[in-house]
Amino acid sequence: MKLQNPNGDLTVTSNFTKARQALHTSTPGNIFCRDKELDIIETFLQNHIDNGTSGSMYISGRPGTGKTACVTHILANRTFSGKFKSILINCMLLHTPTSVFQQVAQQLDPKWNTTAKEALSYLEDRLTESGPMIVLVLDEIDQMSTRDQSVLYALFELPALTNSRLILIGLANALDLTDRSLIRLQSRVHFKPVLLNFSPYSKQEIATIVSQRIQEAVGEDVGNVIAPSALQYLGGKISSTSGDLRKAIDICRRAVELAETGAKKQSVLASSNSELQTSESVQTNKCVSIPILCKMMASVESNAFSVGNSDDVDDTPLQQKLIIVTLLVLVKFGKSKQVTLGKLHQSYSKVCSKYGMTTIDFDEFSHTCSLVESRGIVILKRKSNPRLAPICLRLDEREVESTLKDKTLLSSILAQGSLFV
Amino acid sequence: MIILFLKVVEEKTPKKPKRTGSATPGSTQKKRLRLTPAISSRSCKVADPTSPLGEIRRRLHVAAVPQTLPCREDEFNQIFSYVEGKLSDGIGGCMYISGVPGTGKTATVNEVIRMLRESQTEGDLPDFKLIEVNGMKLTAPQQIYVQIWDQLTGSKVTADKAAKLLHAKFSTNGPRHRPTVLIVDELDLLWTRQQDVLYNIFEWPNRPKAQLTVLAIANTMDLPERLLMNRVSSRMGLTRLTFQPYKVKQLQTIISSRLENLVSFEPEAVEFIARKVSAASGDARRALDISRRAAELAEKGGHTNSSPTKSPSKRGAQSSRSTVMMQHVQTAIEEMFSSPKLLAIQACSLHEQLFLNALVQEFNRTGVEESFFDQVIRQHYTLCDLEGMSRPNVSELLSVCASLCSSRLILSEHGRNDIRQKVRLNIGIDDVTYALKCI
Repeated sequence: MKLQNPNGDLTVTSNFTKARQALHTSTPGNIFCRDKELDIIETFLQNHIDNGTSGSMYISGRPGTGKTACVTHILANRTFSGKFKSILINCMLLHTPTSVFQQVAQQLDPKWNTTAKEALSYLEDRLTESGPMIVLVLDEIDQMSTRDQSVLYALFELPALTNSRLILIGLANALDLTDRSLIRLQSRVHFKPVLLNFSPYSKQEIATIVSQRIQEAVGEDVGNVIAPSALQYLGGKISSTSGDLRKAIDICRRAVELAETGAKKQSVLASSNSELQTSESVQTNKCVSIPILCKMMASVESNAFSVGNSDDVDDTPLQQKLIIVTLLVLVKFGKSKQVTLGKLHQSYSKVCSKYGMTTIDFDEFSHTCSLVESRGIVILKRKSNPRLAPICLRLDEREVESTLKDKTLLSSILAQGSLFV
Repeated sequence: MIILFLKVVEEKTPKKPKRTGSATPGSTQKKRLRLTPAISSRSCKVADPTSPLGEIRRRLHVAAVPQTLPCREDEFNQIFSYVEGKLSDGIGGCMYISGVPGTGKTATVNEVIRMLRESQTEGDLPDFKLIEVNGMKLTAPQQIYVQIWDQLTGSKVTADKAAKLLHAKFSTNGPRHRPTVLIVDELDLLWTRQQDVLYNIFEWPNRPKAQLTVLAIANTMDLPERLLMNRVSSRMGLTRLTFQPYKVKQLQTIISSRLENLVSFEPEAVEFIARKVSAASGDARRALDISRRAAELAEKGGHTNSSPTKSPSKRGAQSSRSTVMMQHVQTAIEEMFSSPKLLAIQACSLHEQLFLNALVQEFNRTGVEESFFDQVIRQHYTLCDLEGMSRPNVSELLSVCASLCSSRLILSEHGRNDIRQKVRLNIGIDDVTYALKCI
């Protein structure tokens, strides 16, 4: 991170470093743009803890909308007048749904150690005793769903027991988990959990959050690190697809990394050149601009279909190209969308002999097909007899063209397509 | 014998006994008395390869660790700077590395770790703990917790317990907590229906105090989109790196970098191998295998037919004996890519071959791959008449069919349907005609 020349460049790179460190996807110290939700959760907890009443709440929202962050933030940082004990369990860690009771019981009483069957009745006893309120947060609660939903029902019925001191907060992705799978809860008013939905972040919110994060770390103008227009662009892009803040932060961090290495390179280059050029060249690449972000987005968004980021370099080995093109021909001129591997090999041999290329035999061929599959271009279903295994193409003609970057081969084979079927 | 052994030990270490004896006399006594199984040493050392070809074979072996990894500098730099940044910043993250087999994923990661260790000993980086897990080596996905915990602390616990302990470890910041680098090879094998294992692996780096860097390696390029739930791929992040298959030039560099200072490999032969392999898969392991096999062939050829028939002069003969030529490569490739099926067809009995031919004829007639046995019999009889052979009876033909079936040259339904059973070729029609023509 340290540079040899002690001039202005050092601050630029250290700004980048600070920003890079601030842009992590772990739970942040401060939460922005979720004031309303934070307020709702806090008042909910406040009411129940202060009055000593039990209650339940279900929070839904897509991945990366800050559900867990909000709840843990409140539990860690806010103070309530009443005493309470909080238990946080991530249901992804549990092996079976029923073991959640055991887990909670162990958290309540570290010495407790019996079978899962007795855990529920033990919990019912313990939770109706007098004592401090217990806030139980279950992350990814939809993992608990079984066929008859007995575990989820049992969980949501715990706060409804008389004298219960449990405040339950469930977090999951599905909007309608309680309506869909817990229909019986609707019928009884005091069982019904309070619902809260975290909507995906909007364009403006993403931009604000990212800039606030950087602001906190850098301590000066955000414009020195990332251009405001670039932030707007990023926000627009992410909010139009998923609204996942983790994604936005990830992209932003990688863009900052890119800019950092760029700045480093430039300063090293410039130090060997004259002093006059130094100031100019650093000026141009001082912050993350839209082009850098664009580049990052493109490399992130490019999935299997646009193989490789370097243009004009064809990456696919020749035989794999031939297989893909033959499959395209078969799909286009043949009857069905799905062909067996044996049929594909036959057509492929025809193509090879037509173009005077060496044909690889079937065993090698099926191995090569599995390589193509791992690039995400075809789907190959495994069968005991590989010759009968169905294979189908996941791209259309235009995408094949952009993948292969070999227009002449493609068009000449396609032109004579009916010969090879 | 034990007494003798004791004596030997004491004779060998004349200065030490005072100290060890006074400190822990009991334990040392025990240690000395323990008999440990050992392999008797060789009577003579394994000879180092003397001929240049032997040296080539040793160097071209896949297991021989090269000093540097050519043609993967970019990927190396990306991974290195990523992990280095994470370690020096004291935060966590994960990176997904994909690429088809034999493109140097694991080798590059290992090289990165080696370099990190080096810069750590120089004091540029904080001390870190390395954990390596291979999905192939686990009996069940959950066993990964056991493995990780074992490598972290050296104690063995059950999977559930290990998951809890790991969760606790990565959520709190203990006094002796140090950064951890976790390498998960063959990630796709950790997939379960609930995806809880994958979720946890990608969740831990996101915890503020974990200081965990995960390098996940797998073959499939679009694994996150294809297999993973939204909440798992969201945690996995977007830092991805794909290893493209090697191209001709790169394969050439790889082979010749291993052969440096040794001239007994024709450059054209190297290029030929590189072209062959890069056309099919771009798998460096395969390129090395072929070139090693070619070296073996060259060596063998040099020993057995010491007087080549065609060699015009003595000098020519000498050079062909100690260098790997195009013809050796050609033979090696043929050996490697030729299928046993053609040989199997050629080794079939006369009626078996006729039966295969009849199947081809039947296919030509109907255009359907699957045909009924009685229809094939008709074709078979016609072929017999053409060849002027006596017709075998139906039960003989059934046994012919069964023997072809058992070698999987053809596939048939259950024998219960007798002559109405369906049969189909398990090999390409071109293969059959080609093999039968060659006789």
